[in-house]
Amino acid sequence: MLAARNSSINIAGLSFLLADPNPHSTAIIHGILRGFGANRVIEIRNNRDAIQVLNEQKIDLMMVEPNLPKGGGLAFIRSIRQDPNSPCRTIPILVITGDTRTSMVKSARDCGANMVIAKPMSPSSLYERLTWVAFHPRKFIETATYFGPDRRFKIEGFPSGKGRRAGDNEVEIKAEEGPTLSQNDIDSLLAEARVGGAA
Amino acid sequence: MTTPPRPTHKEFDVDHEYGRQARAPGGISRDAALLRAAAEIERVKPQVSDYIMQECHRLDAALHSANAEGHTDASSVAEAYASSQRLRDVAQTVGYPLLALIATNLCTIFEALEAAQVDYPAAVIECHHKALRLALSRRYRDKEPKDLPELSAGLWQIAKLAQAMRADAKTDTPADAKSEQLKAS
Repeated sequence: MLAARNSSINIAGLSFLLADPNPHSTAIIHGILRGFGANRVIEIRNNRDAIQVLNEQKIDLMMVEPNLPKGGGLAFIRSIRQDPNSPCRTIPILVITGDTRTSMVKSARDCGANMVIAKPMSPSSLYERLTWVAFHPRKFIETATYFGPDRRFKIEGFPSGKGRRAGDNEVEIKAEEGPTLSQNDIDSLLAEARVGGAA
Repeated sequence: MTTPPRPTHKEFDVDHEYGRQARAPGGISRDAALLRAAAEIERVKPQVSDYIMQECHRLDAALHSANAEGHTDASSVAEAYASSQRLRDVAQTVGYPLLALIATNLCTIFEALEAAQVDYPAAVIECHHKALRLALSRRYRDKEPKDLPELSAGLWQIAKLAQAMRADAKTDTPADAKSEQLKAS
């Protein structure tokens, strides 16, 4: 089910962590969040400070730029997701980046981020992602090599049902047809492929 | 008796505080949230605009020294790329669409150079350098790309080629041919 375009969001009192080395970029995002009703937004510029904040405060949602100094934002996200003792292990984490190359999006997905938001960011794009994360939570997956939101996205169109461009069409979702593969089926197929590849 | 196979993965629901609170009644409607966010952007705009002008001058200097006297200076190219990224990330949101287009284009070109290992396209970069200086002038600073159709069409054409080159980096097209395509644009 898609979020209604005029649904409301109640984020007052929640704690947001903005991890981005560029203070002007965070000034804009901070302003947008304030407009949405957020009143607890913490800005940090590097990994070390981010870790310190996470040790000292409860954070409800993080937004992380991959170019974060002292280790990189994606490594920081992976370290949170892989740490069984981290209180933030399952909180929503959004990657904010101007680099929308496929390789970057895949890396963000594989480190355990919930979503990628492209910069420059408009208030409507951020609003739609925040409501999507709130209203359409995804299951978490734990494997030997991955911990994070289920990466198998079902394509259900744009968050609001319609894209931002004038030429975007409404997306119609058809009912599921035919049987779908279970995780065990997928695992066994992959295992066979690996055996085949090794042979 | 056989031991059941160990599960290879675990799948579970997460009910996080963010979702519970965000869905709770008493929030702000989408329309009101967007209006208030636009007002907040207006509030930070003077501060970010000053920064954008400074960043443009840094980019101008880096582009100037990137290929001074025909020799490509790697550190200046890296600085020009970093500066273009910083501009790309903020210029559009605070109302500098032409600067945003130029910065985005430069990012795409620098990424294509890195991915496809082609020669520094001095003429293409120079064209963007001149466009940057034009976009910085008071007369053109607030213009939309659609207000300058010829300039924008040229920049978009180059960006399209650079995007294709960036995506195509692992194909068999020889680097020399890629360089020629970019120069010809």
